[in-house]
Amino acid sequence: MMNNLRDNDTVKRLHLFFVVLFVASILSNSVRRFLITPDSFFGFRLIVSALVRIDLVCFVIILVLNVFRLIGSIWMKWLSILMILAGVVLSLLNFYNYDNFTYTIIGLSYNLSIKLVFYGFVLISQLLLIENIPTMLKYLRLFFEKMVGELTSTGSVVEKKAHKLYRFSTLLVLLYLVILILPMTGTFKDLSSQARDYSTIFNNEYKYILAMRDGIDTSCPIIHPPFDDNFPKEERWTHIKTQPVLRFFLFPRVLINPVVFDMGMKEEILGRYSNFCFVKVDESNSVWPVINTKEKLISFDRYGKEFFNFDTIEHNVNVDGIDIYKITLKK
Amino acid sequence: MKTLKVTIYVIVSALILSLKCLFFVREKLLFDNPIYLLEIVLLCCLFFIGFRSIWVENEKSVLSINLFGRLLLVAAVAVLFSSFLYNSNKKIVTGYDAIALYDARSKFMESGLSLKQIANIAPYDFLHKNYYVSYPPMTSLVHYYWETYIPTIPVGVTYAIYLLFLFAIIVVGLNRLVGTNLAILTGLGVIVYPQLFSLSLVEYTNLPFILFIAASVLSFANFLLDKTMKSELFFGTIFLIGSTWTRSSEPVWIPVLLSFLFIFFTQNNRKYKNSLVLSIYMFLSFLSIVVSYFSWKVFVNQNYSGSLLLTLNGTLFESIVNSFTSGSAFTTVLAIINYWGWLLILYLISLLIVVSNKKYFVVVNFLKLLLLGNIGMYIAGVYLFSLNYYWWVDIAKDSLIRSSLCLLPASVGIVAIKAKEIIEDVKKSA
Repeated sequence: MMNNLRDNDTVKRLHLFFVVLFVASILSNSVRRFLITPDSFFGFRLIVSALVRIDLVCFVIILVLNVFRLIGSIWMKWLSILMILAGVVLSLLNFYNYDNFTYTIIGLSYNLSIKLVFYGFVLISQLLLIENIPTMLKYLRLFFEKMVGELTSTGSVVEKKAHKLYRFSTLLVLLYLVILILPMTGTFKDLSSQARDYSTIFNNEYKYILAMRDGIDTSCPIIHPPFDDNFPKEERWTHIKTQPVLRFFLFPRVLINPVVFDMGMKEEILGRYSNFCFVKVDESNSVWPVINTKEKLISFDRYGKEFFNFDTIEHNVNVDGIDIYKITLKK
Repeated sequence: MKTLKVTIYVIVSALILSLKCLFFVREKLLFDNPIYLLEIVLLCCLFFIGFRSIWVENEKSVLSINLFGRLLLVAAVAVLFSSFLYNSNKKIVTGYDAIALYDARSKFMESGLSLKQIANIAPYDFLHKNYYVSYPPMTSLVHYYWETYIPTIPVGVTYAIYLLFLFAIIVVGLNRLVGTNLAILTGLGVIVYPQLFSLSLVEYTNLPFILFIAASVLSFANFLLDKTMKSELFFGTIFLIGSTWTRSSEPVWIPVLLSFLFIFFTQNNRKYKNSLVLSIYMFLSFLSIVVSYFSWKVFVNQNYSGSLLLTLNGTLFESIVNSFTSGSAFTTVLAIINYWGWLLILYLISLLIVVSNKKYFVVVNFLKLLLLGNIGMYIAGVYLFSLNYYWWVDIAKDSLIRSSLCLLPASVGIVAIKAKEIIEDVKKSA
């Protein structure tokens, strides 16, 4: 069946068709970037957006058809080399300018360039593999069954390759040792690290943790600075917003992340507890929380926007000059 | 040699066994679910059969150290001592997860809580849902018992001891394959590797994990080399169980076990393949590893009342397809390879090395197969993780290297076997 398909004209035409479709699919990225506007013809828009998405499918079909098309694969090799080169050049352009550089100028994104390199490698290795399948199979069998060194030199291609690999491994051992040993100059630098007490690990935030531990009663639930997962770039309150760290020091106190007030937990929490404690964080760029004593309002969120009403507020100052509050929130 | 081997094997496996028993008794788990009882019975069986056979077996390898080996040994002792000194001088537990998770759990245990209660300790923390049961309790238990009974010495010292055992187990495990001097050199090379040495200075689970994986891989390798050494099979199984009980998020044990079984059953060794006793033993080991892996999952599912952090949602298939059509899958894999860096290159080089000695071919194939399987597992794992969590880059940057260091002993082992061959060739031709 294989031989029948190999010389079949339909397969040849199909192969060519999918190669053209594949190239069109890559190029349609540029078309989408520059020629499509909201008032373009709907059919045109549909075709282009379909084309952009089918490159993987085309590529897989080409790989399948390659198996039946051994002859004339030289230009396919050139195509794959071209793809690798184009991908490398595009990603280098992105690397040396800015992330979206090639997308801006020719509409081909960084993801696409990496994809091109990957496709190129797969394609060329498949073409090489197809040509050498009998040799490869023999070699694999040798690799798993026989010992490479045991070969008697009958001079076959496979054995020569195997011997070459055997000699080559000596070089590889040396390379391995170099890569293993070179970074070892830095092995002992961690021994001099000063992270031997909590104040060096948590920096200036440790004093707040201590204030909470020593100044707040164990029965009083603690509200700490907000940790909102929707804002991963938030850099304030690195440690004192993270519950596992706080709990290590403050257990068995209940910890409350103010973000859960907005997640529908407000009534449950206010129903269960009436008093809450917290310390006022007073660093240069991160003051928390916002308290308005005149109107009896307090805000625990990231930018002091949503306010709670409170009934009473107690204020203490500990030895380090950190304000400790005990508050009764209105339901 | 035999005394050294028995001492190390028994101490490390007794640590795993006793901690498991203490944990089950402390949590009153034994009769909660039949899987716990089955696990303890299997583990005790393995330990006692292994202990019995290690005395009966006749150990063929001998310790023979020359001057070079002695010098290396002095260097290794200096390295271990520096780690010991650093750890005994620090007053606290360092390392973020060590404070927030491993030591925190032991601290809660000291105040009388069981792990069942600790699992649900934070009802309002939606960001760290199953944080306290996201890792098995092995290191926390070590912290707990150490801080209860030896409070004067900092718990970090145990990590220097793990490093010592890692060194010792590499020497003992490779002694037969490459000779004592080269084995000491290999052990030194592993413990001086920067990232691995730094792991002995923080209280993470990685170092005990590396110890257990290295121990089980080398034991299995020795068993494949000589199938009369059944104790290697039993102790290797116990070490692998220990690794699943230290970190369960990366299933390194699956490639190790699969490649072990594959190599064992594809070898041309009729005599052993058809041996009923050996088949029963193999089945016993296989069963106990699977049982102990799932016993932790059962514990989490039974005792943690919230939803699990790492659940695969229905859109997983969709996001995989999307990542391939948009091309982000390729950039992710490229980024993983980039972050993995030199360590990955080391593993890949050791995959390419070809050994000619027929005797060691089995062992080298086993090591290569498990390396290959684990590299694939790690790349696939981080890729799947990247689909769900935006902070996957943190994982890929630090965790990947730390966690995959457990493959370093296997990789260096291949190189050591090849190096021995080269040295012998040079000696012959000289």
